Amino acid sequence: MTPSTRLSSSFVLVLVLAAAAFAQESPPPPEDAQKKIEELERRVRALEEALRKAEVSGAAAADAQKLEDEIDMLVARVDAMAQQPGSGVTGGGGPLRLIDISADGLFAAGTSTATDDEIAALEAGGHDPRQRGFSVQNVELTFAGAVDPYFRGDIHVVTFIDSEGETQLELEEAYLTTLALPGDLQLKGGHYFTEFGRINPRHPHEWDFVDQPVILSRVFGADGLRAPGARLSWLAPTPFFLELQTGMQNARGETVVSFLSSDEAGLPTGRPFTDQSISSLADFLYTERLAASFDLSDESTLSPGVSALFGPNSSGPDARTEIYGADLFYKWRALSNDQGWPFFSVQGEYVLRNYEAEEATDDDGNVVPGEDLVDQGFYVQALCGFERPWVAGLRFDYAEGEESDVLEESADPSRDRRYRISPNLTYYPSHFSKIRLQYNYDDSQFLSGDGSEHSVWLQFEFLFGAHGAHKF
Amino acid sequence: MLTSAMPLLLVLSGLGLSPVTLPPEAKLDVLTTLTDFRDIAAQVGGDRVEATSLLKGPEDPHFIDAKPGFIRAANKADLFIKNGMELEIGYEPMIVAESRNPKIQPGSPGNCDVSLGVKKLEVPAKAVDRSMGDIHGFGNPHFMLDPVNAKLVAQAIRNRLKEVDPSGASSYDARCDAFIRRIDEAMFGAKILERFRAADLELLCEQGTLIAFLDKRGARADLSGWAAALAPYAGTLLVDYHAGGSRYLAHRFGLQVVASLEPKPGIAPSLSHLGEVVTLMKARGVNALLYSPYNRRSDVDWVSSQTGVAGVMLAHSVGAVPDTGDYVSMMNRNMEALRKVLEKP
Repeated sequence: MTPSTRLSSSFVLVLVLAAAAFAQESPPPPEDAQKKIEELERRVRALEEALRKAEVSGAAAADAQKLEDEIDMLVARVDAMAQQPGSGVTGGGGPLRLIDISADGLFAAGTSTATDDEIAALEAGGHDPRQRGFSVQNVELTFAGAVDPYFRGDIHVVTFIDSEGETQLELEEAYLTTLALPGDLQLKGGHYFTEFGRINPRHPHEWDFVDQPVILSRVFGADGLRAPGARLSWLAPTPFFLELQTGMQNARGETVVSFLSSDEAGLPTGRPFTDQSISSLADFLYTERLAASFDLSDESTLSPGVSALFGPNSSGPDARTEIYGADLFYKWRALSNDQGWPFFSVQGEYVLRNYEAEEATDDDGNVVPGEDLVDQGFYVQALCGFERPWVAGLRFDYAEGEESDVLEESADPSRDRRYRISPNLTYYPSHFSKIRLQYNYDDSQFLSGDGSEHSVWLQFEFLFGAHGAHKF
Repeated sequence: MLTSAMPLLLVLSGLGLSPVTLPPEAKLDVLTTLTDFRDIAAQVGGDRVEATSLLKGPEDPHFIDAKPGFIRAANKADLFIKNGMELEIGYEPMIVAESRNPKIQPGSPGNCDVSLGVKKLEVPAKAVDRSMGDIHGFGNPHFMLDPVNAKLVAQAIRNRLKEVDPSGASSYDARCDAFIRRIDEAMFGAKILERFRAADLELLCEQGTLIAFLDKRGARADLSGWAAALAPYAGTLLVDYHAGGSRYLAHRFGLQVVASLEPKPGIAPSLSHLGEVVTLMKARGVNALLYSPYNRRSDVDWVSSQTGVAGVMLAHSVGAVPDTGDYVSMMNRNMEALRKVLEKP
């Protein structure tokens, strides 16, 4: 090393130390930083001077060697800082994180042997593709984040274009969740999807199929069951995951079909709508759920759950509805996997609804007798992520309604016996987009001809922004 | 401290309230995301802690399902240790929020982000977006393959252990010092450390001048360990599959990674991109191809067959492959695997 490079290195040392002092100690008192730099500068000069003297005087070689070692070390430190600015950075950084905003667009295109009117009955979900041609299924804005040390907040606003071409705007969810309640409790309050089964609380972009299962469209309506309310959840101190949830929500509104739906949409066909007012605690919707999860091995997990709903319905002042559900989710995923592939999962839900319809008089003065209307159905779906980034899926849907005295079930598309078989194939260009092709074979009593229809849908999704983790 | 608190504990339990302090025989429940931190927490914590990790060694830390069992584990943790730099963004925020455990919420002493103290690489100098692939805005988060960072992580864990369990402070200090000494000796050997400071040797190693420095002083024979295995190859060119831990390992030993098989971080290799990498490897004389156990092996094999450059599988975490039961043995294995390939002419 020549004296000139050594000199320039010590100059660099001073500059870098100055920069480093300002960058790392935020914010340092200027006098202190200056003192520190001056001290280091003195040290380098002293060392160089000592070395020069040692060389001139022919002092012990070991001493000169020691001094040179020390200078080389200092120079090495300077070089390390000077060569790679931005690398080897210590310390944290990052802006204040106030809110996570994300946007998700879900679109579909396709066609069917069924007419548009029939499609609207077959695909009864509000975000399902409900017409031949293109559909804007769901454009969702999500705002989420920690409110303070005690709460986190989540808001989901959804917009879509209905089959009439009208833009619809929905406040899908807006709720607070507690972070610091004692006793392993958690309280959620606001307007939210009822935690019943596995699909109802999830947004359409999380679904594994283009459309929602038939039985869920029947008992929860086009938009899923959601309403203002509050629910308490408790994590049990068991060796496995066990969560108990109990809550109450408003039983009124157009998203609470099966209960006090605000119009006739939720009412079994042929019954007059009676507007109910809230007069007691019995007029709320009560929601219960028990969910467990077992890690069977490092690679497989089994999550069963049961749910129940109790509340008044709009067929008369004393009429009640009960809905029960059981669900199961199993997933296997290779421990050493390629971005999550390969995996295999099975999911199923069974739902039973007992709708107690009261005796009523219709507009023409005819008496409609009271009766219990029982509907049930299930879906089972399997997904196979055989090779990144492909996922093949198969779903079987079944739903039926017990015969009504008022109207023959076979004529009612919301209560007839039907099944659907849906194979699909999804391609994920990245974790933020997907392309899905699905075929539906529908067999339903209300359909004309041989009672079956074929549909093909292509779905596309994009997601950007800071989007929270999905539930397992 | 604990004995003086005993009457209070008794009073509290008499009232039916749960005591805030641990009973003397109970161990501190330390939950980590990665297995590396579990190993270091166990080594620094000793008998006072019971450390478990959410992930298993072979898993790809980018793609983890937020399993409900994680919530169960997080609920009872006294100290939660994570990598940070958004590596766990896909599951950790939800697990912590759902845990109902005030001790491990962000900002609490029981929530430890070890990345805050480490030396980071590839911190973006300007805004990044997803067109650049699955890029981490806070820099490359796979810092554990740099042994210097393992020592910094041990210190970060020690500091938090002392904060949540002050009565164990002296034990944590001693065990952390012992861990750091183990890393230094594994890196350079005990002999050379009698003459030079580990911190200085680390810098020389990073700059690729360690061997020249020691040669000049006739001290090269005193060097052993990981530095002796890799420092002679400073300046060697490498290719990796993903811009991950390989970058930290290369950085520490003065090796240079010139390309990745992934065209952009997290984006699957395309045939055209692999073709470009093959051309580049031939033109520049690349000596090894680094990959992780979970990377798609067929891509590695193809590039290897086209170029004749051997693939070197690096264990990315403790327990990722056999014989990597703790941090030092994992690094022993990685260094030896890479050295074997580099020593070939």
